[in-house]
Amino acid sequence: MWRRAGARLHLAGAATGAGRSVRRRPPPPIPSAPSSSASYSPPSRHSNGVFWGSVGAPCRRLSNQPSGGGGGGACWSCGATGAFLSCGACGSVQPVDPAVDYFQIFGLKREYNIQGNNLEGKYKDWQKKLHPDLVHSKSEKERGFAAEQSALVIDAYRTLSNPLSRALYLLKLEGIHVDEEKTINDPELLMEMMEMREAVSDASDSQTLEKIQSQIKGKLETWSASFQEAYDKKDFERAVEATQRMRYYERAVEETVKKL
Amino acid sequence: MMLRAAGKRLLGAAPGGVGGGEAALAAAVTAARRGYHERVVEHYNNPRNVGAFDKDDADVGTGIVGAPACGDVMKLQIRVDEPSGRIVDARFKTFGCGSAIASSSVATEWVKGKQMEEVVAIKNTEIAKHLSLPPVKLHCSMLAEDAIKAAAKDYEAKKGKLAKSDE
Repeated sequence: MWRRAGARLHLAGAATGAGRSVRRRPPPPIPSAPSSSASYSPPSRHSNGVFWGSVGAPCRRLSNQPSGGGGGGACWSCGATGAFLSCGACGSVQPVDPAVDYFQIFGLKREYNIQGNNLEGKYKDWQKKLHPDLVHSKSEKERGFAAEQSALVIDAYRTLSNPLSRALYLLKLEGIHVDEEKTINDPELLMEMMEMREAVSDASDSQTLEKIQSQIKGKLETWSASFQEAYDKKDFERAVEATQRMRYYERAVEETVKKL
Repeated sequence: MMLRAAGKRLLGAAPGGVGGGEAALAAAVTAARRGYHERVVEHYNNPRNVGAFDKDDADVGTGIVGAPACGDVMKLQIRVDEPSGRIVDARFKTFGCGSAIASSSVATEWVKGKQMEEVVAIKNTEIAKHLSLPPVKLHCSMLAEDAIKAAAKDYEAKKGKLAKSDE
C-alpha cells in the first residue's frame, strides 16, 4: 500500500516565502530499506529538502503495488534516482509519467476520505516547483514538461478537492466506467429532484434559498457517506448509485448558488 | 449566461410572461455566438406547452426521466382521448440545458394529435435533426424520446389498472 507520505512531502521553499527561488540541496542518503513494509514508519519532517529519493525506495520495493509507478525514476538531467514530478537533486521538471495517479501526486492513500491532508498546501508546493512561469530560462524540452506536469497537478487537485469528482475518479481507477448517457427513470429520485428544482426556481428570497441549499447539502453529505460505505465494501453498484444521487444534488446546489 | 437567465424566467409558470422582444434578441445574439440552432433558441424563449396536468387524472400519462450525466430532470405529460386513443394535449417541465428544454418542447408539439402507437415510434434522432443538435447534446433528445415512452407506458398502466378494477 502506498505509504502515507503526506507528512514528508515538505517540499523545499514552502517555508522560505513567496518570491524567493527554491533552494535545492542534495537529499540525504537513501535509508536502507526496512525488511518488512509493516515496520516502515515515516521520519519526522525535515526542512532541508525533498525526500523523493527516500519515498521512492519503498514504493519501488513493493513490486505488487497496484498503483504502479509512483516512486519516480532517474532524472533525465542529472541521473539522480527517485525523481518524482521534479528532481530532488537538480530541480529539473520531469516528463509526465502516465502510471502516476492523482492520489500518488499528493502522497495520499487511494481512499475517499482525504480530510486533514492539507491538499491545498501540497498543491501550492507542487506549483512552486512545476509551474511553467518558473522555467523560463530552461530548455524547451523542460518547459514542455513543466506545462504538462503543472496541468496534471491542477487536474489532480481539482478532481480530489470535490467529493463527487473524487468519487468518480476512484471508481475510474477501479475500472468502473459509468455510462452517463443512459437515462434513468427511478421515479422516487426524479420526483424528489423535480420538486427540489421547482422549489429552488420558485424561491424568491435569499433566506428560503439558503434554507433549501442547506437541506440539499445535508442530502449530499448523506449520500457521500453512502458512497464511502459502498466503496469500502467494494459494492460498486451502490457506489455508482450514490454518485448519481450526488450529481443531482450538486446540480441543485449549483442552481441555488446561481440565484443567491 | 443570458440564455440561461432567459430560460429560468420561462421555465414553469412564469408569472412575468414569456420573454419579450429585447430579451429574445439578446438571447439570439448570445446563441449565435454559442452556436445554438435558432430552433433551439426559439423553443427556449417561447417554449410550447410548459406546465402540468393533474397526474391523478384518468386520462393523463406522466413520464419522468433523468440524465445522470448532467443532473437533468424531464417530465412529460400527455392527455389522451380514451375512445379514440389519440393524444389531445401535452405538457412538459424540464430542468436542464437549452437543448434538453427544446427537445422536450418539440416532443410535446409532436405528440399532439397522434395515436399512442405513433408517438412511441418517435425517435430521438428525428428530434435532434429538427433542432440541429450537436453530438454532445444528442442525449438530450434521447431523454425526450424516453420521456414520451414513459408517459405512454404510464397511461397504459393506468388504463389497465382501471379496467381491472371495473371487472
